Amino acid sequence: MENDNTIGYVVGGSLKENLNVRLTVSPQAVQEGSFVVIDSGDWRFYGLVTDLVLGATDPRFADEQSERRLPPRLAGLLHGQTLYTNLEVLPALMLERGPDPADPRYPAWRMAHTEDPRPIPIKTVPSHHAPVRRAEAGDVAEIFGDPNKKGNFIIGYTREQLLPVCLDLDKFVQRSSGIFGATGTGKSFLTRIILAGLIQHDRASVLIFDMHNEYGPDDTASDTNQRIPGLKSKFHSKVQLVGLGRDTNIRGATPDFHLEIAESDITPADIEMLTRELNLRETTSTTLNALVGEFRDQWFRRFREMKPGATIETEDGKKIPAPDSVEAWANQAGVNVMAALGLHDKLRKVFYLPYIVERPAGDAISEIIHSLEAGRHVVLSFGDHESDLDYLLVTNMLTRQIRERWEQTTNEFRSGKSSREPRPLVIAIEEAHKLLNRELASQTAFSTIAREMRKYYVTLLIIDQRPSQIYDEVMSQLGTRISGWLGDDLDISAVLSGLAGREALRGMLARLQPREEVLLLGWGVPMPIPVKSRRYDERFWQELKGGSESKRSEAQILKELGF
Amino acid sequence: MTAIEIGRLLRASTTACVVGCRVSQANVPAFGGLVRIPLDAAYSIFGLIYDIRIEDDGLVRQLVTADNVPNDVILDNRVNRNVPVEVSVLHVGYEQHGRIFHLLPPRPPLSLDLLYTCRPEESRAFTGAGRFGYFRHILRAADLPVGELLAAHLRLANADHAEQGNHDWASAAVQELITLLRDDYPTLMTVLGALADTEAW
Amino acid sequence: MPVNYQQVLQQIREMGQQATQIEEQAQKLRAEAWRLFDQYACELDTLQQLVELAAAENPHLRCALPCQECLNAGFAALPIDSSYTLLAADGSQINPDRHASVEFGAINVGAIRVHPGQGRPPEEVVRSQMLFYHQLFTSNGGFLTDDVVALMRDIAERRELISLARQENSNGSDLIVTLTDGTLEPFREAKGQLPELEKLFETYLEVLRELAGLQVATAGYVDKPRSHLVINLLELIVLQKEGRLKQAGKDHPFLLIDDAYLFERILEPGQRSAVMAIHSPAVQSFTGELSLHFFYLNVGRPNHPYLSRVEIPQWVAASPRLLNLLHAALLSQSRMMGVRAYPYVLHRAHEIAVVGYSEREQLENMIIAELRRQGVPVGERSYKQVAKDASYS
Repeated sequence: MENDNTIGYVVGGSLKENLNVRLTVSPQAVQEGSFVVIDSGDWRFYGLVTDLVLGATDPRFADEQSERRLPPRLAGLLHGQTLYTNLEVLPALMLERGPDPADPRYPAWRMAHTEDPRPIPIKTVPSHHAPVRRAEAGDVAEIFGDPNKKGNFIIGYTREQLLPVCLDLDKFVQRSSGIFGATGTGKSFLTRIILAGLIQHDRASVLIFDMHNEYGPDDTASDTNQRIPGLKSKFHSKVQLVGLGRDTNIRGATPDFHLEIAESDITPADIEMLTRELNLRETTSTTLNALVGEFRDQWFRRFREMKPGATIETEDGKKIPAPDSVEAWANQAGVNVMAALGLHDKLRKVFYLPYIVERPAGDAISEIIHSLEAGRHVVLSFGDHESDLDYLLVTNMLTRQIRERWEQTTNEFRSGKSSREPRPLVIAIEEAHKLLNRELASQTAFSTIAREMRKYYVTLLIIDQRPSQIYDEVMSQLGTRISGWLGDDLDISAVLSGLAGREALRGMLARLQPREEVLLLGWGVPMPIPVKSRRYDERFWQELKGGSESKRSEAQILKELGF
Repeated sequence: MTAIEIGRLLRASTTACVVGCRVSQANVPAFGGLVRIPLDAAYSIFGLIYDIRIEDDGLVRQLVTADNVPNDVILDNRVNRNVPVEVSVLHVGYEQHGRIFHLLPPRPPLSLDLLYTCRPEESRAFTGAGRFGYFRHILRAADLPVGELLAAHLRLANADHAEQGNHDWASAAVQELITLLRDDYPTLMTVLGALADTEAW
Repeated sequence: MPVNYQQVLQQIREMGQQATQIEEQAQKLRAEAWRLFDQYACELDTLQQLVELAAAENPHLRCALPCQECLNAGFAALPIDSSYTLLAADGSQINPDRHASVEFGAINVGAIRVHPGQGRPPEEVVRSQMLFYHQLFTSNGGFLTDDVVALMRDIAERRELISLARQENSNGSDLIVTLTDGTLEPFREAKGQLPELEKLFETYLEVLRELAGLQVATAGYVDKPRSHLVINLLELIVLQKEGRLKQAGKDHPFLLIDDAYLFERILEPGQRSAVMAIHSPAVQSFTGELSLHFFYLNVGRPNHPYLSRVEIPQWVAASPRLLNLLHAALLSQSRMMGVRAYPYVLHRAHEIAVVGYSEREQLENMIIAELRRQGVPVGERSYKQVAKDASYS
């Protein structure tokens, strides 16, 4: 059955490749990424337009400008017949609609399917000439969720008809996910939107490692000079703003508390993670082991206090290492002196980090963990400590402890020792390639979390502009991938890795409108779809916080999007 | 409006027939025009005029060699003399018991059967029935001037439809032609070229 | 059976051997005839007396009789400045056939009425008369011969013309031309033989008189004439010179030559010759205003003369106005036919009148059908006819 939204009919294709659809409307009426629906028999198929191909029954029809030879009306009739446009449609899902209720087969079918069927991954193809139409609100809701239902968060709108596309937030937090896009493509805004949605939904706690102080406090847009509200100012006490270091203030705002790291909390693993950053040698672990072996949890302070190159004079005027020197200790511990000296020298950067103190003011880390367990959300702003070293060290240490904590809680819950189910936690990390690249993959807590922690209610939300540098094992764990425009082929391949229909989506990624559109894909999303991203503005906050997300009229949406 | 009698059948086959008639100003049949041959009360054959041939005879041949031909001689030849005019008609369908078919007629017409031009309502009924199935008879006749014939026919039929406010018939007809000829570029462009010259576009 | 080609071939060869000789002879004769013609062309009185003398010797003499115009004169037509009506008629017949399954005859007259220059299409008239039963027999019980039917046809043609002429006259037309194909003398040979023919002939003359009364320019048009009327006249001169006038009409010194030879040389395209009377036993019946005259008319083109012979009654010959009207009308009609000059209206009249074989069959079938409908038995074709039909089918 055809309706006004019909744009064509199936003329060929296969399950392995795309479906080919003959367009019955002007090609300008359809765009790449259009979400289409094909009804064939008892089944409904859902797919994505991935290509538009101009064709002609005879090349001469295309070569000859019939518009010059014939009157416009006649020339126009050739379009669609001898000159046509085919769509390539990537089929994604199918749904058994069953026969029409008026059909005699209906009662029997209904008995066999007491529940309304759900969409399933595509297993067959529609018949020739099955009508193809644009998805309507109902179709989008069927696949991506009803925007009016709690837990369905509007992430954006379909390109052509601006129908709301939702993320199921409960599902979203069950797996790690990623937000990608080249620099300047609006990742931060998108992240803000999702974080806001998660926080508002409040089924999981969110810990945000805010490396550039973007998410917690209010900010100003560099291009429009408009005020960008931060999570703290919108969610107030639900969000704890934590500053790294005692005196940090975050863009003029005072954090709720400060994070200082006790020297005694630092483990050799934390240091080894900084190998590349500090250019440490292979001998580092030997040296560290020796230090720990001797000084236990004071090794850091003790090592720091050693004086490299300190000498004393012996009675006979010979210069020998001073007892508090690095060399003296190395000799005594049986560790290579040069290795120890080298390590000490390189660790200088860490020794004097202002937020690493002997005795922190409070147990900020525990406080963070408690907040999270209690259902609040934490934004850890790094303040002025924006170097990669700060980032690597702090995030890793914190995450390690969190991981331990959540593992423990889960085990207690599972074994029946506790009736309290662990609160799901999402850890949002930016510049993820710094933490999750191949070299570090085995060393950081993050890769563990990415690979395993889903079982323990902890998932990652990674935000990155160089996905090709992220360890592919980690990438493959990401359920939902939200990507803005990417220019680098390797980055594109990384985002698409492990997904069906890669080639078709590749071009789509390169053609997204930066700052305006993103592509949702991955097995956390029912099917890949490009969307016009939601705007992070007052309106967004009104909708988010002012009760259920109110439906806006299409005219309002268009106005907002600048049409 | 009464149908104009054109003439009587000379010879026929299943696919076509030839009608002999007198030519005078009032009833000159048009190339591409739709005609009807009623065989009995319930059965009529529809045809399309694809050729009009005026044979010369000895007298006319002589008259053309004269320096001038007076008007009364011209009139005499047109009004009085049975200058044989042969109208060739391609069968495109038939009507039986009120139903129209775009198939070849089951029985051809017989000698001396009368042929009439179709009235506008008959033309509309025939050309509007079904989905232009009768075009295939025209397209199959390879030795006819297909492009010109279709252009002439479409122009005449379109006028009949437009009279009743139907301005879509011509477009639908051309669409069907394009569908039938989409793989035959030379023929399709010939047909469209001929159509382009008519005022219907 | 085909001819015996052996015999024929032989005879043709023999003819060929004579041909050159005969041609030489003919040339000499032509030169002589021409000389005499030229010499005596204006000696009208002399010639008239000569004819009288010759006729006394031979009552069956047939030749031209000069009137008032020199024989070698040519006359152009003057333009016609008034409107006129042109009527032509022709007929065809179906002769009764004893071998057919039913006996019947038919006379079909076709006539055409033209108003030249008035922009109206000409009108056609067809009149068909069937002959059945007693109409097929003469008063003495004989079956109708072809001659009789032909005469009936001629009369029917003229009757039609007079009927149309009357109509025209009553409509106010005063200039009327009527044309028929062939001579004005019907069946001059046969008429003496049957009472039917006499009666019919009388009727014929009556019609002519009526035409005279209406002052209609009546004419008979003879295409490609083979007549020797003027040559016969020249022969009298030769015979007289040789003292053999007794042989007038029997001896023919200029046998191989006809009048066309003379007049082709003197008539320009469009010109007529002098009007002459016909001296002939047959024409004695045509007296007074009916007496038969004729002239030659060149309807050809420059360097391509083409003659016709036009027979007219006396009342036309005596009227310069009617004569010129006739002359001009004939030229106009002939020129319409392009290079094969022949009056258009006569051709059309013939077309309208002609009855073809299929029509004959049709009529036969209609008659048989009617007889059967009436329950009357129908005859068969004679076996002779059946056999003929079979071998030619």
